[in-house]
Amino acid sequence: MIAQMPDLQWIPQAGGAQWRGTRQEQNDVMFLSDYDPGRGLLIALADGIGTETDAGNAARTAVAAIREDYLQREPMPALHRQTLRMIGRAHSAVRALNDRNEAEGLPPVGASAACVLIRDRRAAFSSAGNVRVFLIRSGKLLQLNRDHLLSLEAEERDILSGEAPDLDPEWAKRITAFIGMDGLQKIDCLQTPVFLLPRDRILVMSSGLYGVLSEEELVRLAESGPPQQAAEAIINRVRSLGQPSQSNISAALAQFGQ
Amino acid sequence: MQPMEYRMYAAMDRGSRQEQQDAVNSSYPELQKDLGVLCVLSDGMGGLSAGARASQAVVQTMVTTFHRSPITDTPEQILLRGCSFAQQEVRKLQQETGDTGATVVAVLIRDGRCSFLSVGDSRIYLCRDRALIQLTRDQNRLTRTERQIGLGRLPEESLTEHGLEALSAYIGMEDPVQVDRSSHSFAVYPGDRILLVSDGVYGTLTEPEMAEALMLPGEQASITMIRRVTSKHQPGQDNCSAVVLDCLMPMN
Repeated sequence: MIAQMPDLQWIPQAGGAQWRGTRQEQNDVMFLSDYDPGRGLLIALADGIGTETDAGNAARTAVAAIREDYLQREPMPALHRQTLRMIGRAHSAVRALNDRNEAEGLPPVGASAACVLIRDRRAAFSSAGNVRVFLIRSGKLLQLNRDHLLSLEAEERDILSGEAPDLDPEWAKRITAFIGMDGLQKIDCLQTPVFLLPRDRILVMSSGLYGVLSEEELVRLAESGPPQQAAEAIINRVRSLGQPSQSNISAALAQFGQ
Repeated sequence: MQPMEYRMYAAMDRGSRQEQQDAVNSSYPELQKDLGVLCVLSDGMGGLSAGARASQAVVQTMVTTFHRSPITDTPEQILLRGCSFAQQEVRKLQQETGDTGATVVAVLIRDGRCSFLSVGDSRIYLCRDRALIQLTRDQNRLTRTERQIGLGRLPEESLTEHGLEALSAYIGMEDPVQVDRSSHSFAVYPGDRILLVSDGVYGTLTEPEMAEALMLPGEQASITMIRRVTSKHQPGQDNCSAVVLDCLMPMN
């Protein structure tokens, strides 16, 4: 009997890197799985919201729930529905954490989060908040998910309903959906998973990276080597800029095929 | 760098319906260099001629808004304002025709960057390196139900309910319109193709079938896509429309 070798051009591999920036704590939490033919490859990234210590708890709780879904629950045939289930479980876990926090007199916490599942040449994702998911194809960047930002919703309300909120620039950066919030409704998810081509890359990054690097530089670095090396190149480049105030940053990359 | 050139090709078929209630429109090609390009597709709903009038009103209003907008307006503002005016037009039309409404998908490319907006369940795809990427989210009960199941608020059996294709947002609805739109514009490149379709296309063709049609050049792509839909002879085939917007090498 001849063992069938896997076709390497269809196997995704992932790598990631993080930096605390100038903050006291690292409140971004990331999980990257190995590729498993049955379960696929998972990237999960959460960016905690709240006081510095507690925010990390929220992000850890969210990512642990997503990881557990990936490792222990039955994979669903509909990839996008599985990512919705993952985000739903992360939300339930952070809500449970908040119930415990409330009993102890601690403030509520939450997290922006995104998970990407790659299986059978397709990538599906779900997200809440402002962790971004990009597709890089032939050196061209495309954001796949939506940001849940107050500034975007305020623009819509202003033009569509004539309500013109006077937004403080800091408030405008606030997010309108996150894991753990009361009455979470807005989860972004694409019903049709993205059909991947060989050498396509999926980049997942936390909000600390926004606007720090140009799109061109981000793409150049993201394609500069294997995923682990390329993710480190992105983080090292931001570190080298020596920004006086740099929030936590995380970059996770998956490359489809070799 | 020279600006890219954009060319739009559209094809439509009535399917097995009495009337064509889809409508498409685009900005004046001669304005391309200064203002960019706008493409709009709308799928009308309602009895008699109301659906057709609603979709025509939507695409016309979106294009007129684009032509009249000051250059200082951002593409996102133009799309949202066009949508707001279209909502007013369809609400006015309802006073005459009764219940009617329409979906809308609109793409605006300016300075090599693309912004888009959608209300309803028509779709926008980006075809890059001959593979399709869906850009819009369907605004219907199915989408809402899937999210509620993910959050554990509904059982999985809810997916077997009837009527999941019912729209949760459309132009003309009583409540304020909920739009689905790009959070940020994205760069387009020569060779990229943007596809706008009504549900009569993606409800009949698979994604690979649509991508295959897009391998053909120029207007052959949109014509072939619609021919493939009609050649399937689906009973009750809905109106179907496909608009292909080609991003071409810079103009001389």
